[in-house]
Amino acid sequence: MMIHMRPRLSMSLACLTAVLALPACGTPGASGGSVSQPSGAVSTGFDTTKQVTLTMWDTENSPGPSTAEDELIQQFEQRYPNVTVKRVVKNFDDYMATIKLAASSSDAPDVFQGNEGAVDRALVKAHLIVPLDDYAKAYGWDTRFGSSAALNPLRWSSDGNQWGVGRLWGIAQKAEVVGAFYNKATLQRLGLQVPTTFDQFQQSLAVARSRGVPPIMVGNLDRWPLGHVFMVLQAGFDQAASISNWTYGQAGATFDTAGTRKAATVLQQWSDKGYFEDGFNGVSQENAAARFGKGEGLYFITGPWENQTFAGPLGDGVGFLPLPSLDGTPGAPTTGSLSLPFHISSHSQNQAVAAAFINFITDQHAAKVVIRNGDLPAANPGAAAVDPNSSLAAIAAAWSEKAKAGTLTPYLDWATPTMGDTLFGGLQQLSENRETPADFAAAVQQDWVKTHS
Amino acid sequence: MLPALVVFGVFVVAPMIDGAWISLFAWDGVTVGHWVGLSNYREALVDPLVREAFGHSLVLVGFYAVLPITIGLFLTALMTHARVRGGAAVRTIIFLPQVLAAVVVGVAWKWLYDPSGPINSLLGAVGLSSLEHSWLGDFSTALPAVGVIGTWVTTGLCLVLFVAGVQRIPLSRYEAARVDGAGPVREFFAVTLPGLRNELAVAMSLSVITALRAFDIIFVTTKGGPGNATTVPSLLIYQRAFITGEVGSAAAIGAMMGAIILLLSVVITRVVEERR
Repeated sequence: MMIHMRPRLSMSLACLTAVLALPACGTPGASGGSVSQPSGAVSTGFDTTKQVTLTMWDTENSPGPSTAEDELIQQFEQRYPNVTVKRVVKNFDDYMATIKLAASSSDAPDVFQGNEGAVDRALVKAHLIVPLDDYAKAYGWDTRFGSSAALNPLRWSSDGNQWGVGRLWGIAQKAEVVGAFYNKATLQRLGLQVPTTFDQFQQSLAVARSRGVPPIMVGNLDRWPLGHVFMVLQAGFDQAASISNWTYGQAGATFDTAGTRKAATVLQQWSDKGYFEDGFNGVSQENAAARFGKGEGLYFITGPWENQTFAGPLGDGVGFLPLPSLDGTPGAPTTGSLSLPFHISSHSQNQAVAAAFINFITDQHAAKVVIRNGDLPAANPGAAAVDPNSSLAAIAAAWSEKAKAGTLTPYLDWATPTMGDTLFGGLQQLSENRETPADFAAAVQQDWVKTHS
Repeated sequence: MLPALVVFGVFVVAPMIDGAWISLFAWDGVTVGHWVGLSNYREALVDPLVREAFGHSLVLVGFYAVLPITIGLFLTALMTHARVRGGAAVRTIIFLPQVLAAVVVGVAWKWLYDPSGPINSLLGAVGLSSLEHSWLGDFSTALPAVGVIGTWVTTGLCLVLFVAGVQRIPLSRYEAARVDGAGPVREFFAVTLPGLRNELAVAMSLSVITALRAFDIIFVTTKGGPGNATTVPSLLIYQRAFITGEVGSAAAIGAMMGAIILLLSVVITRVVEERR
């Protein structure tokens, strides 16, 4: 195409190009704002006469959680008729790929979900969100989520360099604890009891396999699902403090520990013994979850966000247990945290309204709405809100037990911006015997060192 | 001409230059970037993952370009020789994938390839259950499996181009070949193939470009996995620009990919297309 171009044409094109290029040649990102403060005095009130439109971005796209957001928005608009909330919802991958750009545009959403780890670090560093400490005091967020330590993953120093300390930048609506969903009927059919030690758990896997039932359903074509399996294993074999220190980027922390290698070895053995469903690296998670919901397989290791996918069709026929520890002690470490936090944009003209809104969607009343839609809220909804026979009751019990004991370990992929890729790709290699546990541990640590040294 | 030029300049040339400019910075996409000169390029050149990705692109050229062109030529030869009944219908069916959105194609094939999906069911039904496979989940079959989707998509384009081209070849040449006693194979190499030079150039340029910038189908089916078995440059660009906040590196890989594509298209056009 280019070679047939006549000289005059290509010359005028070059001129045009030169002109167009001029405005582009500045340092990228140079127009960032200054440190943001909530504008105006902080109180729990706002002007209820002024017409206001709040834009909200979230990634609560699965059926139950999405309905919960819609209900809460409707209730908020009813209480404050001057406020209209415009909701934009995207699936997780698309959301994480666009949220930083959306937040940095001049018409950024007023309220949006971030993600602990790399996304929040970038948002704080670029001053795209406002610190919420004053609102937290005014609304009582410090005490809403069990302990104020629960909010630590949402704290950053103002320059975004230190995590877990400093100001508060977001609050969460929901909580997550990763564990094994199990099919009660299948467990009974196999003549098994709910396992209380890790050995019993492994035995149940062997029994299921020998009887032709896929022991663990997992769709690892999406790459991250096996990550959660690994994380709960590691939480069982390694020190909880060591996992936290490493994820939060504390100097001197390492991934390459005996516990990590043991967890990687067990995962590889499970794969060798056929404890994951056949061809799991080529199955999508959505597909695997749907089939578990239809009664296929014995276990599904994931978090409460899938609860409705299972409890919808199976009802009380699905149970939940945190992966049992080696000696069966309750309260043993497992992976979990508050879910994706809601932030207030520093570009928002209505920060007080935005604060009232995120307060409304995370309080005790909102917790009841979240439960009714099958998910685990971060705030305690009070007694009798959950059907005691449901999987959700077991999840809620696991969450409060671990949260109280302080044994929840963070998601490993928070550790560095590239960790998701490194960790999940590595687990695919490990599960297909293309990498040894030692090489896997070393490769993950190498990624960490690149960011935290 | 000028309005078109302005549109081209604003939407193609300016972003290209902007991209090349950004490739000279270390930039996370939101905070202020800082100048690093050519080091993004240096790092990309020695990054084993980037090399692996370009290697996968090369394999995909086989599936997206070489195979479809071969199949297209073969079918064209068949069609010129024997009047295929319902030829128009066949052409339409083969061309169909070309008008489908790549995401739709990806989702459909993901289902076909599923371990409990139709392909494995079919293999099981005809007694070949030993060949049943986790097509997209196995390190050795993932890339070819993704490649086959590309073959399925681009074959129609090649066929339509070639069939249209054949109709421009004067019948007298075929008659002359037959008078000289040429069989179907001889006829193909002596008359059909030379007559399709221009179409071949177009088909090759388009399909090679499609192979090198393959993104949508891989993104929908494997996201580059298992491990990095199907990672391609455009996927790395996406990940680095939007997920991991390495916009400079993404822009550098993009610039390199653009240069390679430009170079290849020039070469293909020069070599294959008839000189005027």
